Amino acid sequence: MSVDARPQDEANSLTTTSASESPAFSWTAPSPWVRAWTVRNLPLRRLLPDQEPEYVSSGLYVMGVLTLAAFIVVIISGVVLAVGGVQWWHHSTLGALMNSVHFWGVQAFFLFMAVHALFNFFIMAWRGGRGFTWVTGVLAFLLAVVTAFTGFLMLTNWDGQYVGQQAKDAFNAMGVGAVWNVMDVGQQFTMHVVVTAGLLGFIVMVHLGQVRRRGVAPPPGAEALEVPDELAADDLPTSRHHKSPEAAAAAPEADQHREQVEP
Amino acid sequence: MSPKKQPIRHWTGSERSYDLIFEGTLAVLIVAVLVVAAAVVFGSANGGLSYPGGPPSQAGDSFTAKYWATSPVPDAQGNNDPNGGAADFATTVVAELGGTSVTAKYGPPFNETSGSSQTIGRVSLTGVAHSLFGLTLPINTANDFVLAPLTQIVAPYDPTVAAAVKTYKAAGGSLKEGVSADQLVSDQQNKWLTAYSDALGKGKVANGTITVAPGDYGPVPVIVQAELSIALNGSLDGYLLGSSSQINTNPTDATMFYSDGTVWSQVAAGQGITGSQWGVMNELWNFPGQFWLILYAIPYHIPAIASSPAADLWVGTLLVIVGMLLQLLLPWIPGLRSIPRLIPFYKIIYRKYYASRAASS
Repeated sequence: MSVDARPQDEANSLTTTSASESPAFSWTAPSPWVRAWTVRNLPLRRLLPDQEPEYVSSGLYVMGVLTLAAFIVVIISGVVLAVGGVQWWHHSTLGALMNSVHFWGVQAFFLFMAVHALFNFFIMAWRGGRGFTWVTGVLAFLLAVVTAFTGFLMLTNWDGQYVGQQAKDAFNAMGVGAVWNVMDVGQQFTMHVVVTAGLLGFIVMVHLGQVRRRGVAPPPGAEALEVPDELAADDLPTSRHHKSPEAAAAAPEADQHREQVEP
Repeated sequence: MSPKKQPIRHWTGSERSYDLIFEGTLAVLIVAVLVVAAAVVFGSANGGLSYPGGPPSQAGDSFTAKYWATSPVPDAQGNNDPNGGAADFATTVVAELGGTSVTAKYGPPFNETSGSSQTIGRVSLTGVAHSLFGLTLPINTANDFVLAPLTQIVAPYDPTVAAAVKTYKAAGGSLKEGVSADQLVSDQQNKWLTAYSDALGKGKVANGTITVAPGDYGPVPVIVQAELSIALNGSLDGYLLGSSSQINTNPTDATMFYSDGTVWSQVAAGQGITGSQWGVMNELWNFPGQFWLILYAIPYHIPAIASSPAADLWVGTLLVIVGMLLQLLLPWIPGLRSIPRLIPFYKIIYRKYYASRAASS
């Protein structure tokens, strides 16, 4: 059977659910359940969009992607440093450069992330069911702090030695020091390169998935222009590009969705 | 079967063209160029133990007993005493033997010394962890830092030191890992150490030799002199940073010992990285450090917290409440979530959108 001749259901099976794919969970047939959830929550048009709301025009919106870009630079330089070994950067010009790239990458990462967080606070980005997006963003920040901290602990020089010796008091006071010895360089190496960086990478992926899934919050006062996809697909005009706000706001279905300040 | 309701929402207003891949790639390239440029121009801090007025130090250097014992220390008149580090080292060795050092009196997870853990009211998280996990990093300062190194490094080749160590051990004092400070010394050992400590304060250290007035110090002078000698020739560092299984990535014992002396803090202060110098968020010299820890650093500068014996616990508790829970749950906390409506920066951010909407209507 040629591709063109495929039934609609089969043609859409990779990108949408079908009647034969029950969304109910089943231990014996988990794949349709997972696929149905994924398709409903992470449609490709959201993961790889070619359109964004017109209000997403401020340069401040770029802070998120700049944070991600800095994270990528940090990961690449970190992998090179890890391959060289923990003391490589002390006696190699390339190693020292990589350490500097890693260092300034982290500075950029936190700078962009701080602006990104403040921006999203002041636009109340948690509106419209985006509370979990906010939570994953804060978790990413907290994990980034721990990841950067463990990086300072594995410098294998006086700097790392002193940071660990000072930090142990806070860790011990909080009861954490009994299992997490910040003066143990070997433990900090695995914590930094595997545990905290791995968790950070995971939570960043979840955060990105949430951002793509929910989209960015509309400007305060324009929440009514955001409607469930079902309505957009079934009840609203098919062409959603460059449509005036007034036309959309006039849609009776949209009136049911009043301003949502709470997440 | 009814179609599953879509959980995501859709913007029905105006849109603009957007290319996620292009924007992402461009962002990575721009940030990479900026970061590499900063790396080339500014480099990164790796100054070893260098500080104004301090002894020379190479990139990558860390603190060692040899550096400690050879380091000059300002005297009462502010002049650098070239033997000050050796004197500080000898004083610290006496404190480790007598159970009066910071490490000996630290409590869990290093030893069973009680009353030193930080508490708020009756709550001690250190105590909770101690109950759950036991003593996870046991240290006996007298044996681990002094007697054991001398027994392994010096005693086999020096009968005088071997006899001194044997006499000292025979006088009592527990050699068990993690015992409380008061069990580290017997009454006899304490008499020797107290007398020697007084004499050391009035004595002289020059060219690696300790000279004190005659007195009843038992084997202590031989032990302290031998410990200073192996610090000066670097073999004590080899012992503290080594392990019975050859490879060691855990310098905890050495760090705890080194930080009991005053030279340790002297280097940190010289580099401007102590707590009172905002060292929590500063890198040495003029490099930016962990500026994102500013919320963690500020409480340490609040007098009521800074002067509290439980400062770390107070700061840690504040950090959990303010730095973690309030941030995480902010969208659900009345008042806090409304701050952006009281300070409506969003009207500036979306001014073009609001203007176009007003014009349309």
